[in-house]
Amino acid sequence: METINIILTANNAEDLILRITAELHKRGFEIKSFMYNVDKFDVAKIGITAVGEISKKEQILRQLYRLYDIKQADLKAC
Amino acid sequence: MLLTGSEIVIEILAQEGVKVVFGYPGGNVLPIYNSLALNKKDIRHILTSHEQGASHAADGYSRAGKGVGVVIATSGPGVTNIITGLATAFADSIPVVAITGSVPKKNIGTDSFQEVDTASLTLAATKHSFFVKDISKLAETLKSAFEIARSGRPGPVLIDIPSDVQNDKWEFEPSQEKYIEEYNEEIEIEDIERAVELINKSQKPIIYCGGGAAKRNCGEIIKTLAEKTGAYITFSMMGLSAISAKEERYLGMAGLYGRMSASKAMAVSDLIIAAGARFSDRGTGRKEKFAPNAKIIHIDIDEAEHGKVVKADIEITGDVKKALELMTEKAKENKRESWQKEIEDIKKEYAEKDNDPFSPLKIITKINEMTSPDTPVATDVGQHQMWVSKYYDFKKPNTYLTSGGFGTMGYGMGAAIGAALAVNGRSVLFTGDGSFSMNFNEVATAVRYNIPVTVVVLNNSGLGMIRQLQDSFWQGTRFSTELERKTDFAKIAKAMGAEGYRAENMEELINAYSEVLKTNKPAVIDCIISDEEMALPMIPPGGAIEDIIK
Ligand SMILES: Cc1ncc(C[n+]2csc(CCOP(=O)(O)OP(=O)(O)O)c2C)c(N)n1
Repeated sequence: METINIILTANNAEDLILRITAELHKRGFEIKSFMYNVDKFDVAKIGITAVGEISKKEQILRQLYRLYDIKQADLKAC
Repeated sequence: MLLTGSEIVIEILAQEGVKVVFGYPGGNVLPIYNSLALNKKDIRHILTSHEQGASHAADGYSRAGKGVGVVIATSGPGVTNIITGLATAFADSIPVVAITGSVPKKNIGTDSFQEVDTASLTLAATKHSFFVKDISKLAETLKSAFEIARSGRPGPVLIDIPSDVQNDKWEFEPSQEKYIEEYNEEIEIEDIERAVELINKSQKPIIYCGGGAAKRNCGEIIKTLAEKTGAYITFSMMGLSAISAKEERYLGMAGLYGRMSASKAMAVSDLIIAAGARFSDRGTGRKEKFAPNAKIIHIDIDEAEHGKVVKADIEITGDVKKALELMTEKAKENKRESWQKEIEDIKKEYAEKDNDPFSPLKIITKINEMTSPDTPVATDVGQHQMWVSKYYDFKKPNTYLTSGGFGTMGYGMGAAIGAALAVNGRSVLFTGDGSFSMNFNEVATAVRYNIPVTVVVLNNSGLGMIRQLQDSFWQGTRFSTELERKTDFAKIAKAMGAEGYRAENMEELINAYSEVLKTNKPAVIDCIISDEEMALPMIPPGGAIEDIIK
C-alpha cells in the first residue's frame, strides 16, 4: 500500500463528489485527504490523497477519467 | 409548444425512436403514466409483475437488437426493485435508460413517504445518472441520458425526476434530429502495426472475443482474420452468438465452465488477440496462470479495461471492428499447419461424453434443432446457463441473452419477454427450477400481452450449480441447495393462463415443443432431469486448466 496524489479537473456536477469517492472505494483506495475547489466557470479542481495498491494507480486514473463529468485526471508526485 | 415535464418525456422518447417501454406505476411517476396513457406517438407500455422484471425486459429488448431499452419506475421501492436490472445491464454493457419519479422537491430530505436517495443507491449500478430539479433542463438531460447509454462502451443511465417537475410546464422545441449510429473509428495505426508484427511472429495465435465483439457484429471479420492467419477462435460467454459454433476454427466458449479444449488452447497459445473482452475471472481463472506463454493484444473501446486484470503487450483503445479489419488487412497469410495439428490433438483429448438419454445436452440440442436461428434465446443463471452456452449453436448475432457479468438469477423471464417484443416473434428461455421460482411472476405479463415466450425448465430439483460446488469443494454437504419443493411448473403456467407441459423423456419434449410451436401463446415445458447432471468439466474458481475437474 502506498500513497498517491490525484488531480482531477471536472464539471462541477451535483453528485460528482459522491461518484469520485465511490469509485475510489470500489477500487480499493482509501481517501486520506480531499480538496474540492470550484472556479467562476463552474469548473472543479479536485486534489485527492489516497492510499492503495501502487500497481493500480494507472488503473484508478483511467477509472476516474471514465466518469462522465471528469475532463482530466493526473497523478502528482508525492 | 408549452408542455409539462411528463409530456416532454414522451416527446423525447418518441424522438429517440422508442416504441416500447417497460415499467410499473406509483404515486411519484403518475404524471408520466398519464402522459403515456394519452400519448399519440405509439409508445407502448408493458406493465410487468415486478419492477425487476421490467428492468430485465428493457435489457432484453436492447440485447435483442433494439437499441436503448427503457424502464420506468416509481420512487423508493420502485427504484430499489430495478437496481438488480441496472446492475445486470451495467456488468454486460447494455444500454438502458431508467426513468424514475421521485418525491416532490419540497419533500426532499424530509424522509417522506417512499423517499430514497436514488442517486446514491444507483451510483454503482449505472454508467451515469441525473437528478432533474429544473424543468428547463429536462429535455436536454433526457437526450444526454440516451446519448451516454449508447455511446462508447454502452451502459445503463438513470434519470430521476421529482413529481412536481413532471408537472411543471416549459416551452419545448421539437427537434427533427434523428439519431444515427456511428462509431469513432480512430485507431492509432502504430498500435495496429505493432500488433500485426506480433501476429506474424506467432506460431499459435488465438482470437478471444467478448461481448464487445459480439455487439459490434464482428463475426465475419473474426472468421477472415482466423482463416488468413491460421488462428483459432474462442469466446467468453458474452462473445457467444458472434459466429456459429459450427465454424471450423471455433473452439467454443473458454473459461471455468467452457469447452476445456478452448481453455487448453488458450493455455498453450503464444498470442491472444482479445477483442472486446474484459478478462473476467470466470473467463480466465487464476490470472497468473492465464495463457502463461502468450503475448496479448487487447482491443477495447473502454480505455479503463486496459491493465485492469491482465497487462497486455499491446493495448488498442477504439472500435474493435475497425481494429480487427486493419489487422486482417495487414497480417501476412499463414496457414500455421503445426498449430492446426496441435489443436486437433487437443480437441481429441478433451472430447466430452454423454450417456444420459434425457441429458441437458440432448434437450438443448433438440430445442436448438426445432428453433429458428432468428429466435432469441435467454437463460437464467446456473448449470443450465453453462450448458446452453456450451451446447446451443447461436447462428445469428444478438440472439443470446444471458447475465454474464452479474450472474443474476431471475434475469431470464424478463429478458425473454423483452426479446420477444424486440423481434416481434417467439423467444426461448432456458431456466432452472431455482431461477424460474424467482421470476415466474412474469409469465402473467407474457399472458396478458400474448408474448410468445417458450420457457424450458431444466428441472434438477435443486440449485444445481451451487450444489455442484458443495459436492466438489464442501465434501458433498448439500445444504440449502436441494429445493425439496412440490412446485408443479406446468400447472402454474396453466393457472396463469399460459400453456404448461411436463416432459420426462425426449418424446414428451418433442411433442410438447411441437405443440407450442403451433400456437402463438406463451408456454412452459418443465423438463425433469437427473439431479446428478453436472456442468463438467470445470476449472474451479481461481484455478487454472491443470486444476480441471472432469
Ligand atoms: C440472485 C442470485 N442469487 C443467488 C445466486 C447464486 N447462484 C448461482 S447459480 C445458483 C443456482 C441456480 O439454480 P437453478 O436456477 O435451479 O439452476 P441450475 O444450476 O440448477 O441449472 C445460485 C443460487 C445468483 N447467481 N443470483
